[in-house]
Amino acid sequence: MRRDKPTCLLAVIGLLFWVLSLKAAAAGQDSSFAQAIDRFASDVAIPTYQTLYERFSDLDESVGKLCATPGLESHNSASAAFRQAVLAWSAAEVIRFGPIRQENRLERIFFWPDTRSRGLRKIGADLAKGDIDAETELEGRSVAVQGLPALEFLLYGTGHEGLADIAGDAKRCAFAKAVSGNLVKISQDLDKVWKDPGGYQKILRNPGTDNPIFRSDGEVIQEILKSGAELVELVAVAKLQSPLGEDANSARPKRAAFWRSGLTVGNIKANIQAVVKLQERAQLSDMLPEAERGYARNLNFEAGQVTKPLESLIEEETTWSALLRDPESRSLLQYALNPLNGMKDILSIYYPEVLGLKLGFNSLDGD
Amino acid sequence: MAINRRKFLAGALASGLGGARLAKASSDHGGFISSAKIGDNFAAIQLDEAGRIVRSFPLPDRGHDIALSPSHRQAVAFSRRPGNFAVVLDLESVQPAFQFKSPANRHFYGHGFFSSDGKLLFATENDFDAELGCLGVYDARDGFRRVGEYDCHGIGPHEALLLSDRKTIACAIGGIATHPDYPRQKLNLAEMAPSLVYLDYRTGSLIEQVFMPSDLYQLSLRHIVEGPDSTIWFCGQYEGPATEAVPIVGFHKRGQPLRFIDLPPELNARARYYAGSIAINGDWSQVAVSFPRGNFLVTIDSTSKRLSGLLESSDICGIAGAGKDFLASNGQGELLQLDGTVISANRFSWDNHLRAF
Repeated sequence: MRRDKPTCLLAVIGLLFWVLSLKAAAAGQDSSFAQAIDRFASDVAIPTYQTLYERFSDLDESVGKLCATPGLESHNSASAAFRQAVLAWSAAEVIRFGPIRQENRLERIFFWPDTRSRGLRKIGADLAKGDIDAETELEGRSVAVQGLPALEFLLYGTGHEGLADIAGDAKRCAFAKAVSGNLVKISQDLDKVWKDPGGYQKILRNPGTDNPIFRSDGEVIQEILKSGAELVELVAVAKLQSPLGEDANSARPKRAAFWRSGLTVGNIKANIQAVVKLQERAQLSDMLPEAERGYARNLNFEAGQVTKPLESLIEEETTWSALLRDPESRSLLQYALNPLNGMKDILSIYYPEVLGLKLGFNSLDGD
Repeated sequence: MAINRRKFLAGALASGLGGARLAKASSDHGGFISSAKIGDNFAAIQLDEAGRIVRSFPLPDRGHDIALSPSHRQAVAFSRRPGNFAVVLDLESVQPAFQFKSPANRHFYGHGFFSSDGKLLFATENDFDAELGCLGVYDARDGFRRVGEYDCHGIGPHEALLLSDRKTIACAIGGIATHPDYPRQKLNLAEMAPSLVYLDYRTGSLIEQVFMPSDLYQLSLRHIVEGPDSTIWFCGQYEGPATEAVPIVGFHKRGQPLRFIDLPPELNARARYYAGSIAINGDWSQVAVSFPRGNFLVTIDSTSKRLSGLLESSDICGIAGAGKDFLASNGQGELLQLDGTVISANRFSWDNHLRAF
């Protein structure tokens, strides 16, 4: 078919505009990815780890005071500091890549779930041996004795009563001080590595062929979204579903995180709030086209559906095992699984689809 | 080692790879089989030697690898970990497919193999409460009744093979502890101990176990294939910090340490610490390894251990030897020859492994 010149010219101009608009869209996406990565590093990761370092330092100080002056008051102070440390960690759990995955830091801070009670057995054996003092370096020892679950057992587990007594329990307290000191060192390293302009943030902010991990901004965004989705899945499957069981009779409260300290629900709530903050502070929704930003609002809505009932459960001040036995609170916890699945889908399916970052079927989870 | 794609393509073309001229595998039947995801459903799909769909067997959930009986009349599709079903498929459509399960305190890891006489089926399994890996032994002549198990001497056995001497089982030990109550969560990353294990086929006793070197203790060994000169080729996935360049492909000869293949740095970085599948061609001259996260596949000369080819394809994972060459599959439903020719395009996703028979 022959075309006259003006038609041809129009077609060429149209094509040119189309190509230019595609290029502009790609450039716009590149810059929105880069901005989100910048904000993730500056406004999410760095302040989160700084707070973690501060709370772990406070905890270490409180445990030191408990060992120096045993008694109910100092035990209460150490408990309060432990609570703050767990909440700071709960916020940091949303970052599941980078320096936290180096040197086994994640497992050293939070070796959980401990399906075979390694921590309990190893702490029991170490306590019996009595070879851990406040200055003992734990880094070379099992991850099961290095972090928050170990410290929780020492402060709240069987035999902790001596810590709140004026006579104290020097051996147990020294072990607790070694653990809190270890947590300070790990969090200090995290804080330092993230704040170093030539450290991990440089890797995040400069993807390319020379980058050891990321070849494009898109890969970094993929990692950030995957990190949020992973935490939501961990909360749903491991922190909620596993202890809930099929019914009240098959509930297994000791499968939950932080059940000894009564911080199970607080940990879950802080995890979900951290996912919301990740989206908000990194302004992830800015990467989405205007028409697709409903996904970001949906994420906040679903998160609210999880945290509101959790808040009411926290206010009840009932023990975790009683919550799992009570039909009303069980149904609230069961219900939370639905919006959690919604949150996971938004982060692992909808965001990546809209942003053109969907991972292949065979790449989703190694096997 | 530089990759010369053009040279590879020239070599592939010279070897006679053509659209309808796939070299026939060594059996009288000939064909391929793979698990797949079709919409929200799962199936095992049997193909003829030219890659055309012959029949589809529904699976109750996502499948993984498929073990073929020596006669190639029967196949067993395993569920993906932590699944507990296996489906017995009659490749000649005489008997209806039927399902059997792992015991309640075990789950499958997705791989297995038949004994050389076809009477027994071995399946890699997780004794998850004890955190031990084992090979479940099933009687193929008695409705796949479980008749025993062999200790795998490590956590997380994945692919296992009966070697060509018919006396030795090789098993890739991934080293990662998992529990079905925490699906797909890795419970012991700080204390992994992956290895390659050789067992006596008749007794299950340990013949040799070679562990990953200490600097690679988080390299989970997953997939293996037998090569020439009594070598076992392996590939894996690295669970350590994502800032280190580590090899994820290698080979082993009994009595020696594990040896590794260094991919060119740009390919190694693209692989994102994950190799999906490994296969060898019919004359054992080439080993192929797929990297679905990197969207490529390489071939390696099994004698010189040098890279001989590269194929770029999105979400490529399944590979099977097809005569002197290979056939590969990807998550877009394509079956490809290694010159990039798509011989079949389907509106579903091929799963990780493709088997030739």
